[in-house]
Amino acid sequence: MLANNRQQTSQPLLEVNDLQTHLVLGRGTLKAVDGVSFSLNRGQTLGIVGESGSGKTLTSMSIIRLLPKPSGRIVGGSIKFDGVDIVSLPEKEIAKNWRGNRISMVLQDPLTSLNPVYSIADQLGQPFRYHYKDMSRREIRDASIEMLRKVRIPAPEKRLASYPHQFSGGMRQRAVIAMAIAAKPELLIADEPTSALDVTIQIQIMDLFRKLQEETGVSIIMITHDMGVAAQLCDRVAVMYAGRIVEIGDARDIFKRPAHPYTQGLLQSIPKIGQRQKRLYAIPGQPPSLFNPPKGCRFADRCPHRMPKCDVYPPTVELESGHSAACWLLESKA
Amino acid sequence: MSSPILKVSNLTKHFATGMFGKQTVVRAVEDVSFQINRGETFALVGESGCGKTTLTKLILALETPTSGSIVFDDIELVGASRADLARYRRAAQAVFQDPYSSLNPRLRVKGIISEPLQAQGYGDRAARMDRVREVLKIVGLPASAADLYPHEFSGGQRQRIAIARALAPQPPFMVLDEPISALDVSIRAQILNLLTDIQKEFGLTYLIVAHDLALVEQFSTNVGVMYLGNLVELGPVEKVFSERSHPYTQALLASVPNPDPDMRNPADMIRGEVGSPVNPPSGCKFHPRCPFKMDICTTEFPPRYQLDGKHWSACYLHKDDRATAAALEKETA
Repeated sequence: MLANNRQQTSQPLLEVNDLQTHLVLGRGTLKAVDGVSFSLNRGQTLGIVGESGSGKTLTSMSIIRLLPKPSGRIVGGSIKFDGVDIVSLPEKEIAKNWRGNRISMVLQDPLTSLNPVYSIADQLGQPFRYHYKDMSRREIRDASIEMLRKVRIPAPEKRLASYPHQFSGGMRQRAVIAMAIAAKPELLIADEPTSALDVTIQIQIMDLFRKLQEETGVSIIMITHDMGVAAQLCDRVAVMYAGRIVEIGDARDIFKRPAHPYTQGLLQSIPKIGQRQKRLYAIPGQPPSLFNPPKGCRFADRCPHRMPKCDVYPPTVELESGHSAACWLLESKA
Repeated sequence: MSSPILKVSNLTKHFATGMFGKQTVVRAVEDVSFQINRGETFALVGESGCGKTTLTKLILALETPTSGSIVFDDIELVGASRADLARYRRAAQAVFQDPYSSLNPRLRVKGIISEPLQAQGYGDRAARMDRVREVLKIVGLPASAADLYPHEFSGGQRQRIAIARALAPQPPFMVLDEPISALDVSIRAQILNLLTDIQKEFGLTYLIVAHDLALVEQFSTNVGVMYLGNLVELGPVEKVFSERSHPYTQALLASVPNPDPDMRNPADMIRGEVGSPVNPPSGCKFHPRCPFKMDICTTEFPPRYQLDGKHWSACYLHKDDRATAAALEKETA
């Protein structure tokens, strides 16, 4: 509801422009996010898909400013949230006015994001105590029950006194989601929120994300390696490879008309129910090291269409409205 | 081809747990029977807590069953002599999910692959090193990999090393426990194709445990669906996946996120969560979540109803089907 009350403009909620995030490690500097740009509208879900090391998690950690310390730093680009560039804001300001109440996050494993020695009431009350200092204990209790109800935990009054170990995996993730949306964020970043869950639970949590978005109008960044989850939940999908977005577009464009050879290969290589094949297509090789990434297209070494030109990084070509990919094959379509 | 290499009959494993004098029993595996034919890939699917991990441990002779029997070739594993068990452990090898924890970080690759060979009395040192180079080549790694340590390899390459280790003693049978789920999406197909190739080349029989149903459909011959310790449906993979006879199989398959944005997964297909193996629901253990629940399901455990050929489902929905459960029981006894 909150997002609906804020003025509705055509301006995107989030605009990330040429974001560069590095990890400074003993072995050298890892260019984890190397020029990432995208935007996200209010009430929309953007999926970021990619493999481990593609930079999808560090992109989102840059937005919510939870980069690993001291190695992680944003070295370039801008992150405009509701028109404000939050890259330059000091940590104190982010903690007070942004993280938790405007931008929030759900992580993969609910067992590690919940503290085993505090009750659900203690942990669920935390965002209220932190962001709304004038709430009474009674009000916090009521608000917590309301949050548990919102994430469809049955008998929330009785559940409040439970500890995380008394919850099943699915219920724990519901509780984590309740904490994440307690302070009514406008942007929810969900990093592999269903990957640790069984499929019959995963589908219930996916359904919960859909319902919460309908009810609150929250924008969601859904980070996942599962193309099925991306297809089911996302309005738009960005495909990341080796620190860059290689293709972005509406979910339908990405899944029906993938333009980048990496997206095509990825979609071809996943087995699909009801479509048994003689042999799966396998992308050869492995992703490049990001300590010293290739100058040209980073996928070139694994690409079936490699050309001499690929030694220069390809421009991003807009194929149709909102659908673009970075590949020399598409040059003629520009 | 269709002679069984492994026959599991009425296998049950209970664990006693509890503290402070309060004893409880975890019914991890209950009365499970199936057989795996030579050269096939048999898949076990099910969610966490369904008992598939315990079942694989029993089959690898890493746990002792509470009752029941496991016969491999001519060896009865339950109560087998040390000599028979040693013979079995050469014949049955395993590849595990996580290639980061399944390879000893202090050994070079040649040590990782040759150590089990040495324990099994395989040739002399030179013969073992020859075998190391041979299996590395088979799994697509250069001979120079033998002198490196596991941390110098990526996840996909490590899984190749684990496969090479399993392959080295020339086993007829391999247990693959979630062999690709820890790997990156673009690497998974490579490893899957490698497993398919070596199966063909060496006539291997696979038992695969996986939660990825699309992978299971792609990769296996027969599939057993487990729920809270019981097998609830078993049959050829194309039958089980297309007919979806047991309501739990239906729910599992309907829950796999469809990588097509125009094909929405049904949202309210299944409710609730898996029960506890400590205190499983009465009757059919799936009944609290089943959309087709009948009165009988809450009190009686359903028998196995044979659907056709080798395909059966333990659900009262099939009560009126031609074949009776009794006939099936007789056949598998």
